[in-house]
Amino acid sequence: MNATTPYEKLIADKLDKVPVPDMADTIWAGIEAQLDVVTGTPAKKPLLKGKGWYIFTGVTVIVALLLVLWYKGHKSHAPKNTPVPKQQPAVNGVQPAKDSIKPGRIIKPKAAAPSAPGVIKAPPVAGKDSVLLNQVINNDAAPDSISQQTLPPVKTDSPFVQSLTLPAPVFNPVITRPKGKKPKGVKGITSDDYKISVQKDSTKKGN
Amino acid sequence: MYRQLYGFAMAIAMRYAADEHGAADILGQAFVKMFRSIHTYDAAKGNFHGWLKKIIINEAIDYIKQRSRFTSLELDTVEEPFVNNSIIEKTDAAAILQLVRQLPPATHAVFVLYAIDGYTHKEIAAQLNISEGTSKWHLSEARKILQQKIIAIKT
Repeated sequence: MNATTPYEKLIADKLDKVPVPDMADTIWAGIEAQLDVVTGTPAKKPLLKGKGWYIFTGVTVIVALLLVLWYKGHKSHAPKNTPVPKQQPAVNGVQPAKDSIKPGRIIKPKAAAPSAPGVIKAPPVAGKDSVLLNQVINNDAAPDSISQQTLPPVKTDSPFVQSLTLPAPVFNPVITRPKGKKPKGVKGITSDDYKISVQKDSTKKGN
Repeated sequence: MYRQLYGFAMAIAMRYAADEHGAADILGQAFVKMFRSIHTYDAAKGNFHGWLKKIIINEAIDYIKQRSRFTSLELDTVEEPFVNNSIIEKTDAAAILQLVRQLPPATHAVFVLYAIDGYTHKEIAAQLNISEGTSKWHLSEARKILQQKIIAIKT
């Protein structure tokens, strides 16, 4: 069984002499096509193998976390970075509410140079950044009034809380006045109303 | 290069295939593999024809595996068939090839690997994923069938 028999050797010799069919061109066409396909399209290598996949996943997660943290931080800082409305200078010009300023006067926001009262500096045509004084004055509150009074009164349960908590001030650039120096003393009483007089000495005995 | 190797390669493929078209398929795939891996050929390990023959046989085995089942069969006792050599000598090579091709596919493959290309049963078992006993059984079966067919030619 483990050795070839003589007739098998004869068969092998005969098979070597078998005439081959003339299919060389047909077979070559198939070979060429397959080789062209192979060379035309490079074999796709997997992008990541083994540990590379884990590293990629880890880096992706870290980058995603950093992006989320950056976004949250950016969002929380965003209100601080918003510029203060530039209408404030226009209000500053109205602050004194002097009688000498006539309605219809146009005040430029950055016009800080002092001028004689009643002098119209700018032409009556309002620019983009200009504010008409009459509009501002109409919106202006009385000097003694508190703009926060427009808010409903806060109801508190205990006097302790009442004394500690104050309503949060609402900033309205149009009607809120900038903090200036408060007038001292009682309104309506001037220094002329006070009289200094000499009284009896209370330290003397016998009074 | 292809033209020079065509006759040699086609003769090998013809032994394993059931027909010319099958041989052409085996040959085409074998040459594609050869051209792809020609840079791996080492002249120190053997001549080029031997290297190409191995590629063709491997391709032929894959071809046969795709088309036939190898059932596990064990052979205990072997009865050597008697074949008259003179009959084979007088018979045409193409007729002999037809006799071999009439064998069942698995038996055909084992017979050609063992009797023509000189593989051992161990090598055949490894190549075809069968046991050595199964390889021996297929060889014995091939010999029996061929004996009957050669006697039939004589008569």
